[in-house]
Amino acid sequence: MSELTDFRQIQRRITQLTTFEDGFWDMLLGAIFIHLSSYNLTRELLGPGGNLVLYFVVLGLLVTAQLVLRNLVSVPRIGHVKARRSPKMLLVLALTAGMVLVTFGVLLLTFLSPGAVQTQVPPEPSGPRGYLVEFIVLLAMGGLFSLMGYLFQVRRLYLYGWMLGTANLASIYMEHNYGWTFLLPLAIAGGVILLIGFLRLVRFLQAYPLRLEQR
Amino acid sequence: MGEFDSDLRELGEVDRLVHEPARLMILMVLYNVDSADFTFLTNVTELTDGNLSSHLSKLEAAGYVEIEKGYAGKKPRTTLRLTETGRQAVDAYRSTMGKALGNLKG
Repeated sequence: MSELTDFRQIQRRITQLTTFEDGFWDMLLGAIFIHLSSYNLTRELLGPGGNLVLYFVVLGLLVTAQLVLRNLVSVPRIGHVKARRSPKMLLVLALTAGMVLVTFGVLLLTFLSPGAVQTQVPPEPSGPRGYLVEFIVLLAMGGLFSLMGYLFQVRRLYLYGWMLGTANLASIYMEHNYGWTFLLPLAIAGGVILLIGFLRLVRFLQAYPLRLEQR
Repeated sequence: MGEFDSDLRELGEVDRLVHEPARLMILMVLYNVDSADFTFLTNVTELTDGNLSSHLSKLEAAGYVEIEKGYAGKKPRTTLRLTETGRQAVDAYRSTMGKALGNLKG
């Protein structure tokens, strides 16, 4: 019998099992950042407006794929659960969604900042003061993911936040100083998260075999 | 007689149906969700199918849990939900135990 001793622990266990156990959430996050890493390249091809449309289309496809895969692969294994819509839960959900939106908003602001827009001519190298937005992104992502990691007791989220924030800073630095249009550090960070998600999925499939009979 | 004595005496009247560890675990999981199926409860509580079934029957008989048999596609699915009586029983249990053990110092 597992050691479920208090209400918070049970709430955390339910969230862990329904959201983070199968690795699909990690794979979605990794794929989003891999896609973001080619943001400058696709903007040169499609223009700023077309690129933003492409970003949201790909994001929609990835989220849909994650939901479909989760329904096909995870639900038959871990079972079906319907969340309780208590006022407290709705507040936590609204706060989380708000924080995610702010973080992604700041991240998009980074890509739309003057240094990032002028991709045809490599911008002048700049000092630490030229990276204020990237430092804010680093703090916002590190803080948001650390908070989520703490609340849900999912330790790898600490790594994700600081790694993505640092990768974003490194990507913009490389772009400003060496003219890199492909944001390689961000792609590597996304790839690492994707790989961790895949390994979690393999472990999940081993730990939760398909039940022959549903009770 | 102090307040502590009265809180302590309440422990003797605690709902024994809720107090049993496996059943308490089931009730606590269901308290936190709208509904869950049998597979999910097995995974969270790590109880065996037989053990879980037996405890669920007792909780259903007491009116604490509602059991709904249905189908997910072609596969049978048992959906479980805490009733209002069950929710009140868990709240009462939390309150009694909280009062009695809240000020306990090691």
